[in-house]
Amino acid sequence: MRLKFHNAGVGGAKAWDALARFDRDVAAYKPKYVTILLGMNDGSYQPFNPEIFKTYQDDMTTLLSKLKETGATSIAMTPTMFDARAARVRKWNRPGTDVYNSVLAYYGTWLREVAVREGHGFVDMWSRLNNLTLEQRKTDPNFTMIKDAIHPGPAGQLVMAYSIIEDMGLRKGLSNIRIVEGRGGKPRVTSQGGKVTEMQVTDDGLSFTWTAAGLPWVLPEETAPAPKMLHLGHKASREALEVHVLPAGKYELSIDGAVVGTYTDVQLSRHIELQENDKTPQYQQALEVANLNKQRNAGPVRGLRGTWSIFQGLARTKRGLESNPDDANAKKRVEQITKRLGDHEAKIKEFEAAAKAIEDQIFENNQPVPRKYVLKRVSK
Amino acid sequence: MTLRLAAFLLLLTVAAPAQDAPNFKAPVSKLELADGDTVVFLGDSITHHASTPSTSKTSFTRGSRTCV
Repeated sequence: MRLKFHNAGVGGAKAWDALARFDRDVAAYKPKYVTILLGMNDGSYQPFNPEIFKTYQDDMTTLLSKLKETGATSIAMTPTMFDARAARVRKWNRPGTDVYNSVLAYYGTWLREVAVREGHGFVDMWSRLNNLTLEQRKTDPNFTMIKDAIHPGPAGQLVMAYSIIEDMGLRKGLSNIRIVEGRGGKPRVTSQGGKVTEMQVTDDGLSFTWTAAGLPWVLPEETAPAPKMLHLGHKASREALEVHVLPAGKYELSIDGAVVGTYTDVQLSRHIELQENDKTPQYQQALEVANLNKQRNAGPVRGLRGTWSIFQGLARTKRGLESNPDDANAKKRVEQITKRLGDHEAKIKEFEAAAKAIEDQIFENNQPVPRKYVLKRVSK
Repeated sequence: MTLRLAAFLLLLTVAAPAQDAPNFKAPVSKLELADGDTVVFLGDSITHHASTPSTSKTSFTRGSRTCV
Protein backbone atom coordinates (compact mmCIF):
# COMPACT_ATOMS: atom_id res chain seq x y z
CA MET A 1 0.00 0.00 0.00
CA ARG A 2 1.40 3.37 -0.96
CA LEU A 3 0.20 6.49 0.80
CA LYS A 4 1.10 10.10 0.22
CA PHE A 5 1.62 12.54 3.06
CA HIS A 6 1.80 16.24 2.26
CA ASN A 7 3.16 18.74 4.77
CA ALA A 8 1.13 21.96 4.51
CA GLY A 9 2.59 23.81 7.48
CA VAL A 10 3.86 27.38 7.32
CA GLY A 11 5.56 29.26 10.13
CA GLY A 12 3.39 31.86 11.84
CA ALA A 13 0.20 30.67 10.14
CA LYS A 14 -3.24 31.41 11.51
CA ALA A 15 -6.47 29.94 10.16
CA TRP A 16 -6.80 32.89 7.73
CA ASP A 17 -3.40 32.06 6.22
CA ALA A 18 -4.45 28.44 5.72
CA LEU A 19 -7.48 29.69 3.80
CA ALA A 20 -5.30 31.93 1.63
CA ARG A 21 -3.30 28.94 0.32
CA PHE A 22 -6.09 26.39 0.56
CA ASP A 23 -6.70 25.68 -3.13
CA ARG A 24 -3.13 24.90 -4.18
CA ASP A 25 -1.60 23.70 -0.94
CA VAL A 26 -4.48 21.53 0.27
CA ALA A 27 -7.32 20.86 -2.19
CA ALA A 28 -4.99 20.32 -5.18
CA TYR A 29 -3.67 17.14 -3.55
CA LYS A 30 -7.19 15.64 -3.42
CA PRO A 31 -6.70 14.43 0.16
CA LYS A 32 -8.83 11.80 1.80
CA TYR A 33 -7.98 13.22 5.22
CA VAL A 34 -6.73 16.63 6.30
CA THR A 35 -5.37 17.14 9.80
CA ILE A 36 -5.61 20.72 11.04
CA LEU A 37 -3.20 21.95 13.66
CA LEU A 38 -3.70 25.67 14.18
CA GLY A 39 -4.49 27.97 17.09
CA MET A 40 -1.04 28.58 18.57
CA ASN A 41 -0.64 31.78 16.53
CA ASP A 42 -4.36 32.52 16.31
CA GLY A 43 -4.51 33.32 20.03
CA SER A 44 -1.79 35.96 19.49
CA TYR A 45 0.13 34.97 22.65
CA GLN A 46 -1.98 37.11 24.94
CA PRO A 47 -4.70 36.54 27.55
CA PHE A 48 -8.07 35.42 26.21
CA ASN A 49 -9.55 38.03 23.90
CA PRO A 50 -13.12 37.44 22.63
CA GLU A 51 -12.54 39.38 19.39
CA ILE A 52 -9.42 37.41 18.53
CA PHE A 53 -11.23 34.18 19.38
CA LYS A 54 -14.16 35.16 17.14
CA THR A 55 -11.77 35.64 14.21
CA TYR A 56 -10.33 32.15 14.87
CA GLN A 57 -13.82 30.65 15.13
CA ASP A 58 -14.98 32.26 11.88
CA ASP A 59 -11.89 31.30 9.91
CA MET A 60 -11.81 27.76 11.27
CA THR A 61 -15.51 27.35 10.46
CA THR A 62 -14.84 28.50 6.89
CA LEU A 63 -11.85 26.17 6.66
CA LEU A 64 -13.84 23.14 7.84
CA SER A 65 -16.62 24.03 5.44
CA LYS A 66 -14.22 24.32 2.50
CA LEU A 67 -12.68 20.97 3.38
CA LYS A 68 -16.11 19.39 3.38
CA GLU A 69 -16.73 20.78 -0.11
CA THR A 70 -13.60 19.00 -1.39
CA GLY A 71 -14.85 15.66 -0.04
CA ALA A 72 -11.97 15.35 2.42
CA THR A 73 -12.53 14.29 6.01
CA SER A 74 -11.23 16.83 8.51
CA ILE A 75 -9.22 15.72 11.50
CA ALA A 76 -9.37 18.64 13.92
CA MET A 77 -6.46 18.72 16.33
CA THR A 78 -6.20 20.79 19.49
CA PRO A 79 -3.42 23.34 19.63
CA THR A 80 -0.31 21.89 21.24
CA MET A 81 0.97 22.96 24.66
CA PHE A 82 2.40 26.39 25.47
CA ASP A 83 5.05 25.67 28.09
CA ALA A 84 4.88 28.66 30.44
CA ARG A 85 7.66 27.22 32.59
CA ALA A 86 9.98 27.09 29.58
CA ALA A 87 8.90 30.63 28.70
CA ARG A 88 9.90 31.82 32.17
CA VAL A 89 13.28 30.16 31.80
CA ARG A 90 13.71 32.16 28.60
CA LYS A 91 12.63 35.30 30.49
CA TRP A 92 9.60 36.07 28.36
CA ASN A 93 8.06 39.27 29.63
CA ARG A 94 4.92 39.33 27.52
CA PRO A 95 1.71 39.80 29.47
CA GLY A 96 -0.33 36.63 29.44
CA THR A 97 2.55 34.18 29.38
CA ASP A 98 1.21 32.42 32.47
CA VAL A 99 -2.29 32.00 31.04
CA TYR A 100 -1.60 31.29 27.37
CA ASN A 101 -1.67 27.51 27.82
CA SER A 102 -5.16 27.94 29.28
CA VAL A 103 -6.19 30.06 26.29
CA LEU A 104 -5.10 27.22 24.02
CA ALA A 105 -7.12 24.77 26.13
CA TYR A 106 -10.18 26.96 25.50
CA TYR A 107 -9.54 27.01 21.75
CA GLY A 108 -9.06 23.23 21.75
CA THR A 109 -12.22 22.60 23.73
CA TRP A 110 -14.27 24.69 21.31
CA LEU A 111 -12.74 22.74 18.43
CA ARG A 112 -13.58 19.43 20.09
CA GLU A 113 -17.23 20.48 20.36
CA VAL A 114 -17.28 21.38 16.68
CA ALA A 115 -15.55 18.13 15.67
CA VAL A 116 -17.98 16.00 17.65
CA ARG A 117 -21.02 17.96 16.44
CA GLU A 118 -20.01 17.86 12.78
CA GLY A 119 -18.62 14.31 12.73
CA HIS A 120 -14.97 15.21 12.07
CA GLY A 121 -12.02 13.35 13.50
CA PHE A 122 -10.50 14.77 16.65
CA VAL A 123 -6.99 14.48 18.08
CA ASP A 124 -6.07 15.81 21.51
CA MET A 125 -2.46 16.97 21.38
CA TRP A 126 -2.81 19.42 24.27
CA SER A 127 -3.78 16.92 26.96
CA ARG A 128 -1.12 14.36 26.13
CA LEU A 129 1.69 16.91 26.03
CA ASN A 130 0.52 18.52 29.28
CA ASN A 131 -0.12 15.26 31.12
CA LEU A 132 3.20 13.68 30.19
CA THR A 133 5.04 16.89 31.11
CA LEU A 134 3.32 16.98 34.49
CA GLU A 135 4.24 13.35 35.11
CA GLN A 136 7.89 13.91 34.25
CA ARG A 137 8.10 17.04 36.40
CA LYS A 138 7.28 14.98 39.47
CA THR A 139 10.85 13.69 39.29
CA ASP A 140 12.47 16.41 37.17
CA PRO A 141 11.01 19.89 37.72
CA ASN A 142 13.02 21.28 34.79
CA PHE A 143 11.64 18.78 32.31
CA THR A 144 10.25 20.18 29.08
CA MET A 145 9.51 18.86 25.62
CA ILE A 146 9.09 22.44 24.37
CA LYS A 147 12.29 24.36 25.04
CA ASP A 148 11.17 27.55 23.30
CA ALA A 149 7.70 27.27 24.91
CA ILE A 150 5.98 26.96 21.50
CA HIS A 151 7.59 24.36 19.22
CA PRO A 152 7.69 20.79 20.55
CA GLY A 153 11.15 19.28 20.15
CA PRO A 154 11.76 15.70 18.93
CA ALA A 155 10.20 14.11 22.04
CA GLY A 156 7.17 16.38 21.77
CA GLN A 157 6.84 15.67 18.06
CA LEU A 158 6.80 11.98 18.83
CA VAL A 159 4.04 12.52 21.37
CA MET A 160 2.13 14.42 18.66
CA ALA A 161 2.58 11.56 16.19
CA TYR A 162 1.50 9.06 18.79
CA SER A 163 -1.58 11.16 19.54
CA ILE A 164 -2.68 10.92 15.92
CA ILE A 165 -2.06 7.18 15.81
CA GLU A 166 -3.84 6.58 19.12
CA ASP A 167 -6.81 8.92 18.65
CA MET A 168 -7.39 7.88 15.05
CA GLY A 169 -7.46 4.15 15.74
CA LEU A 170 -4.19 3.35 13.99
CA ARG A 171 -2.25 1.86 16.89
CA LYS A 172 -1.46 -1.83 16.66
CA GLY A 173 1.48 -4.18 17.06
CA LEU A 174 3.65 -5.01 14.10
CA SER A 175 3.75 -8.80 14.23
CA ASN A 176 3.49 -11.90 16.34
CA ILE A 177 4.97 -15.36 15.73
CA ARG A 178 3.90 -18.17 18.06
CA ILE A 179 5.34 -21.68 17.86
CA VAL A 180 3.73 -24.38 19.99
CA GLU A 181 3.75 -28.15 20.05
CA GLY A 182 1.12 -29.55 17.72
CA ARG A 183 -0.16 -33.02 17.00
CA GLY A 184 2.44 -35.75 16.99
CA GLY A 185 4.93 -33.46 18.68
CA LYS A 186 5.37 -31.40 15.51
CA PRO A 187 5.63 -27.62 15.93
CA ARG A 188 2.54 -25.65 15.01
CA VAL A 189 2.95 -22.00 13.96
CA THR A 190 0.46 -19.17 14.17
CA SER A 191 1.32 -15.63 13.16
CA GLN A 192 -0.05 -12.14 12.63
CA GLY A 193 1.53 -9.41 10.52
CA GLY A 194 3.37 -11.74 8.17
CA LYS A 195 3.88 -15.30 7.03
CA VAL A 196 6.05 -18.16 8.32
CA THR A 197 7.34 -20.72 5.81
CA GLU A 198 10.03 -23.42 5.71
CA MET A 199 9.69 -24.30 9.40
CA GLN A 200 12.30 -26.86 10.43
CA VAL A 201 13.27 -28.44 13.73
CA THR A 202 16.94 -29.29 14.06
CA ASP A 203 18.94 -31.20 16.68
CA ASP A 204 19.90 -28.00 18.44
CA GLY A 205 16.97 -25.69 17.76
CA LEU A 206 14.79 -24.63 14.88
CA SER A 207 14.64 -22.38 11.85
CA PHE A 208 12.01 -20.76 9.66
CA THR A 209 11.54 -18.04 7.08
CA TRP A 210 9.53 -14.98 8.08
CA THR A 211 8.11 -12.51 5.59
CA ALA A 212 6.78 -9.55 7.57
CA ALA A 213 4.09 -7.23 6.28
CA GLY A 214 5.77 -4.18 7.78
CA LEU A 215 8.90 -2.75 9.36
CA PRO A 216 9.53 -1.73 12.97
CA TRP A 217 9.15 1.89 14.01
CA VAL A 218 12.63 3.38 14.06
CA LEU A 219 12.98 6.19 16.56
CA PRO A 220 15.92 8.59 16.61
CA GLU A 221 17.76 8.90 19.94
CA GLU A 222 16.80 12.54 20.27
CA THR A 223 13.15 11.53 20.81
CA ALA A 224 14.05 10.26 24.32
CA PRO A 225 12.37 10.01 26.76
CA ALA A 226 9.10 9.96 24.81
CA PRO A 227 9.26 6.31 23.62
CA LYS A 228 9.74 5.17 27.22
CA MET A 229 7.01 7.46 28.56
CA LEU A 230 4.55 6.16 25.99
CA HIS A 231 5.76 2.51 26.07
CA LEU A 232 5.75 3.11 22.38
CA GLY A 233 7.67 0.13 21.05
CA HIS A 234 5.52 -2.35 22.92
CA LYS A 235 2.23 -0.56 22.25
CA ALA A 236 2.66 0.59 18.67
CA SER A 237 5.35 -1.55 17.06
CA ARG A 238 5.40 -4.85 18.96
CA GLU A 239 7.39 -7.49 17.10
CA ALA A 240 6.97 -10.63 19.21
CA LEU A 241 8.39 -14.12 18.99
CA GLU A 242 7.08 -16.85 21.28
CA VAL A 243 8.50 -20.40 21.16
CA HIS A 244 7.26 -23.27 23.32
CA VAL A 245 8.96 -26.26 21.71
CA LEU A 246 12.57 -25.84 22.76
CA PRO A 247 14.37 -28.07 25.26
CA ALA A 248 15.94 -26.30 28.24
CA GLY A 249 18.96 -24.20 27.37
CA LYS A 250 20.28 -20.92 26.04
CA TYR A 251 19.59 -20.08 22.42
CA GLU A 252 21.20 -17.70 20.00
CA LEU A 253 18.79 -16.01 17.62
CA SER A 254 20.15 -15.04 14.24
CA ILE A 255 18.25 -13.38 11.43
CA ASP A 256 19.76 -13.64 7.95
CA GLY A 257 23.02 -14.66 9.61
CA ALA A 258 23.19 -11.69 12.00
CA VAL A 259 23.15 -12.64 15.68
CA VAL A 260 20.55 -10.43 17.36
CA GLY A 261 20.54 -11.87 20.89
CA THR A 262 20.77 -14.83 23.26
CA TYR A 263 17.70 -16.00 25.17
CA THR A 264 16.78 -18.87 27.46
CA ASP A 265 14.04 -21.32 26.53
CA VAL A 266 11.97 -19.79 29.36
CA GLN A 267 12.32 -16.27 27.93
CA LEU A 268 11.38 -17.55 24.51
CA SER A 269 8.34 -19.36 25.84
CA ARG A 270 7.18 -16.15 27.55
CA HIS A 271 7.92 -14.24 24.30
CA ILE A 272 10.65 -11.85 23.30
CA GLU A 273 10.17 -8.50 21.54
CA LEU A 274 12.47 -7.42 18.73
CA GLN A 275 11.09 -4.03 17.67
CA GLU A 276 13.81 -1.99 19.38
CA ASN A 277 16.69 -4.33 18.59
CA ASP A 278 18.92 -2.39 16.21
CA LYS A 279 20.84 -5.56 15.27
CA THR A 280 17.94 -7.04 13.32
CA PRO A 281 18.09 -6.69 9.54
CA GLN A 282 14.51 -5.40 9.52
CA TYR A 283 15.47 -2.60 11.93
CA GLN A 284 18.34 -1.66 9.64
CA GLN A 285 15.98 -1.74 6.65
CA ALA A 286 13.56 0.54 8.49
CA LEU A 287 16.45 2.86 9.37
CA GLU A 288 17.33 3.21 5.68
CA VAL A 289 13.73 4.11 4.93
CA ALA A 290 13.65 6.63 7.80
CA ASN A 291 16.87 8.22 6.58
CA LEU A 292 15.45 8.62 3.10
CA ASN A 293 12.39 10.24 4.60
CA LYS A 294 14.66 12.55 6.58
CA GLN A 295 16.44 13.46 3.35
CA ARG A 296 13.11 14.22 1.69
CA ASN A 297 11.97 16.41 4.56
CA ALA A 298 15.24 18.30 4.91
CA GLY A 299 15.43 18.87 1.15
CA PRO A 300 12.42 19.34 -1.13
CA VAL A 301 9.77 19.54 1.61
CA ARG A 302 11.68 22.27 3.38
CA GLY A 303 12.13 24.13 0.08
CA LEU A 304 8.44 23.84 -0.73
CA ARG A 305 7.40 25.14 2.68
CA GLY A 306 9.81 28.04 2.19
CA THR A 307 8.02 29.17 -0.97
CA TRP A 308 4.68 29.00 0.85
CA SER A 309 6.14 31.12 3.63
CA ILE A 310 6.94 33.84 1.07
CA PHE A 311 3.43 33.45 -0.36
CA GLN A 312 1.98 33.93 3.13
CA GLY A 313 3.88 37.19 3.56
CA LEU A 314 2.55 38.37 0.20
CA ALA A 315 -1.05 37.42 1.00
CA ARG A 316 -0.91 39.27 4.31
CA THR A 317 0.63 42.38 2.77
CA LYS A 318 -2.02 42.40 0.02
CA ARG A 319 -4.74 42.12 2.65
CA GLY A 320 -3.26 45.11 4.45
CA LEU A 321 -3.18 47.04 1.21
CA GLU A 322 -6.84 46.29 0.53
CA SER A 323 -7.82 47.92 3.79
CA ASN A 324 -5.48 50.85 3.18
CA PRO A 325 -5.03 51.28 -0.61
CA ASP A 326 -2.96 54.46 -0.25
CA ASP A 327 -0.23 52.81 1.80
CA ALA A 328 2.82 53.40 -0.39
CA ASN A 329 5.05 51.22 1.78
CA ALA A 330 2.65 48.30 1.48
CA LYS A 331 2.55 48.73 -2.30
CA LYS A 332 6.32 48.60 -2.40
CA ARG A 333 6.37 45.55 -0.16
CA VAL A 334 3.90 43.75 -2.44
CA GLU A 335 6.16 44.43 -5.41
CA GLN A 336 9.23 43.21 -3.55
CA ILE A 337 7.64 40.02 -2.25
CA THR A 338 6.04 39.25 -5.62
CA LYS A 339 9.48 39.46 -7.19
CA ARG A 340 10.95 37.27 -4.48
CA LEU A 341 8.22 34.67 -4.89
CA GLY A 342 8.87 34.50 -8.64
CA ASP A 343 7.13 31.74 -10.58
CA HIS A 344 5.51 30.08 -7.60
CA GLU A 345 3.81 27.29 -9.53
CA ALA A 346 7.04 26.34 -11.28
CA LYS A 347 8.85 26.19 -7.93
CA ILE A 348 6.11 24.07 -6.39
CA LYS A 349 6.31 21.60 -9.26
CA GLU A 350 10.09 21.43 -9.00
CA PHE A 351 9.98 20.62 -5.29
CA GLU A 352 7.16 18.13 -5.77
CA ALA A 353 9.17 16.28 -8.42
CA ALA A 354 12.26 16.17 -6.19
CA ALA A 355 10.17 14.84 -3.29
CA LYS A 356 8.58 12.21 -5.52
CA ALA A 357 11.98 10.94 -6.67
CA ILE A 358 12.91 10.22 -3.03
CA GLU A 359 9.49 8.72 -2.34
CA ASP A 360 10.07 6.29 -5.21
CA GLN A 361 13.36 5.26 -3.60
CA ILE A 362 11.58 4.81 -0.28
CA PHE A 363 9.03 2.51 -1.82
CA GLU A 364 11.77 0.46 -3.44
CA ASN A 365 13.56 0.06 -0.12
CA ASN A 366 10.59 -0.70 2.09
CA GLN A 367 9.35 -3.85 0.39
CA PRO A 368 8.91 -7.01 2.48
CA VAL A 369 11.96 -9.28 2.50
CA PRO A 370 11.80 -12.99 3.46
CA ARG A 371 14.20 -13.41 6.38
CA LYS A 372 15.75 -16.57 7.74
CA TYR A 373 15.35 -16.98 11.52
CA VAL A 374 17.59 -19.53 13.26
CA LEU A 375 17.37 -20.45 16.95
CA LYS A 376 20.44 -22.45 17.89
CA ARG A 377 21.21 -23.84 21.34
CA VAL A 378 24.55 -22.52 22.59
CA SER A 379 24.46 -23.96 26.13
CA LYS A 380 22.28 -26.17 28.28
CA MET B 1 -64.69 6.80 33.22
CA THR B 2 -61.15 5.58 33.91
CA LEU B 3 -61.31 3.52 30.75
CA ARG B 4 -62.42 6.54 28.73
CA LEU B 5 -59.63 8.64 30.18
CA ALA B 6 -57.09 5.95 29.37
CA ALA B 7 -58.36 5.70 25.79
CA PHE B 8 -58.24 9.48 25.46
CA LEU B 9 -54.68 9.62 26.70
CA LEU B 10 -53.68 6.81 24.36
CA LEU B 11 -55.28 8.68 21.45
CA LEU B 12 -53.39 11.80 22.41
CA THR B 13 -50.14 9.89 22.45
CA VAL B 14 -50.76 8.35 19.05
CA ALA B 15 -52.05 11.54 17.50
CA ALA B 16 -49.28 13.76 18.89
CA PRO B 17 -46.86 14.77 16.16
CA ALA B 18 -43.66 12.82 16.47
CA GLN B 19 -40.77 15.02 17.53
CA ASP B 20 -37.78 14.91 15.24
CA ALA B 21 -35.20 12.61 16.74
CA PRO B 22 -31.86 14.39 17.00
CA ASN B 23 -29.67 13.36 14.12
CA PHE B 24 -26.29 13.27 15.83
CA LYS B 25 -23.22 12.50 13.79
CA ALA B 26 -20.53 10.24 15.13
CA PRO B 27 -17.00 11.65 15.09
CA VAL B 28 -14.45 9.74 13.03
CA SER B 29 -13.05 6.88 15.12
CA LYS B 30 -10.56 5.42 12.69
CA LEU B 31 -8.66 6.49 9.61
CA GLU B 32 -9.41 4.07 6.82
CA LEU B 33 -6.40 4.29 4.55
CA ALA B 34 -6.14 2.54 1.20
CA ASP B 35 -3.54 2.38 -1.53
CA GLY B 36 -3.12 5.76 -3.22
CA ASP B 37 -4.72 7.83 -0.46
CA THR B 38 -3.33 11.21 0.47
CA VAL B 39 -3.24 12.78 3.91
CA VAL B 40 -2.52 16.50 4.19
CA PHE B 41 -1.11 17.99 7.40
CA LEU B 42 -2.31 21.58 7.49
CA GLY B 43 -0.88 23.92 10.07
CA ASP B 44 1.72 26.43 11.19
CA SER B 45 5.40 26.17 12.10
CA ILE B 46 4.67 23.27 14.46
CA THR B 47 3.48 21.22 11.48
CA HIS B 48 6.31 22.55 9.33
CA HIS B 49 8.92 21.59 11.94
CA ALA B 50 7.32 18.18 12.25
CA SER B 51 8.92 17.31 8.93
CA THR B 52 12.40 17.76 10.31
CA PRO B 53 14.40 14.65 11.15
CA SER B 54 12.52 13.01 13.99
CA THR B 55 9.05 13.73 13.04
CA SER B 56 5.54 12.58 12.92
CA LYS B 57 5.97 11.57 9.33
CA THR B 58 9.08 9.57 9.96
CA SER B 59 7.12 8.06 12.75
CA PHE B 60 4.58 6.78 10.29
CA THR B 61 7.24 4.80 8.46
CA ARG B 62 5.94 1.30 8.84
CA GLY B 63 7.10 -1.02 6.11
CA SER B 64 4.46 -1.69 3.55
CA ARG B 65 2.48 1.12 5.10
CA THR B 66 5.34 3.55 4.72
CA CYS B 67 4.09 7.05 4.31
CA VAL B 68 6.03 10.13 3.32
